[in-house]
Amino acid sequence: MSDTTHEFHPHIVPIPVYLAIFVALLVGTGVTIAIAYVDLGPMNTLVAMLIAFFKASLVVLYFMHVKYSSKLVQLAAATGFLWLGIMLFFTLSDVWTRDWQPVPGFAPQFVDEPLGHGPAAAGGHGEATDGHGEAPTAGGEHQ
Amino acid sequence: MSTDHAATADHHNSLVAHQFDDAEQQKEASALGMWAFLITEVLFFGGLILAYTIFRNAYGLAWTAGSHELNVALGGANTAVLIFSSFTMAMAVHFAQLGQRNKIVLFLILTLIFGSVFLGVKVVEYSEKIEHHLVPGPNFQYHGEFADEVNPRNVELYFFMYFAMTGVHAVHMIVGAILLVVWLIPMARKGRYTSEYYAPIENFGLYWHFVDIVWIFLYPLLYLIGRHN
Repeated sequence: MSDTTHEFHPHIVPIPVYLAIFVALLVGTGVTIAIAYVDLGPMNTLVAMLIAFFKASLVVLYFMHVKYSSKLVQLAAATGFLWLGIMLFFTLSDVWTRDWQPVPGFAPQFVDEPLGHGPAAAGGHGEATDGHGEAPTAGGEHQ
Repeated sequence: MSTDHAATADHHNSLVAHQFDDAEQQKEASALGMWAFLITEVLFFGGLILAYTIFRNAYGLAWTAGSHELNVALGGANTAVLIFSSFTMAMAVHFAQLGQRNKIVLFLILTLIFGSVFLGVKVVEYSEKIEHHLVPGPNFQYHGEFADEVNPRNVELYFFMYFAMTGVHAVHMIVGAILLVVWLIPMARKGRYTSEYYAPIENFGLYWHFVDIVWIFLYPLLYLIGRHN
């Protein structure tokens, strides 16, 4: 401490910036809720995730100081999300481009009902609805 | 080690461990280490979100049905509470940078209070789910508005993911609250943190903000599916 040349001077973010981010995060939450009640079809989830991603970016850049951090820390933080992207992209690109084998007890709805669509045709839905769905029928049905 | 006076001075400075050249390098190293940990956390929660996405893709209506059993208002209020706590945490780091002890303590306590409110609301939500037999297991029952169209086993799977994701998130909150109570707040009161040395507060802040980010994603993913129906 006696040696002033060795003191370091971190970038000190002014309080109004923190307040602005704080308000933006609250507004973003409000918008997320409001938009959930508007029917955008399959876009609902996409919009919600885009807003969430925007909010997360604000937190990372300002609250977590990544905007003012060294290149090394910025690279480390970005890399984490790169790995996440690899995990999500390659797993989902596989899952979404192949047929699935139905799972006994879970099967009926899966086959007929892709994401975001209403109750699909199939009368088969009701068969396993005894509340516990142990449903030996469902197991047999698909083998 | 030879004859550098500045280096010698730092060796006598207990705030800088002797493997570091100076306080700045030490701070950089601790931030980098914290980010390495947070990356593992990103991938940990990322794995849960991946499982969620695959199941939701397969059992979409069950996900809508399960989501409609959640309380949008309580979840939304909790999102706001967590954003408040992130803001107070950012302020604690800010005043640590300025070395203002009393304000560090004040904002750490506020962070703890908001975190506790979040967990309290979570307790209310979980107990509602228990009362309504929505906990996966032998007592699971689904009699909601989609009961005629959906296989309850699939709704049970939704609630499995709900409890796994929010439960692990709540564990992170509890760990954070414990660290505040037993470590950061007492040390801050003792005046341990100054404008030269506040890495524990900064790194705890990174952790706390990360947990906030997780909830920013969990809230729309779990509470807000198909609300326009």
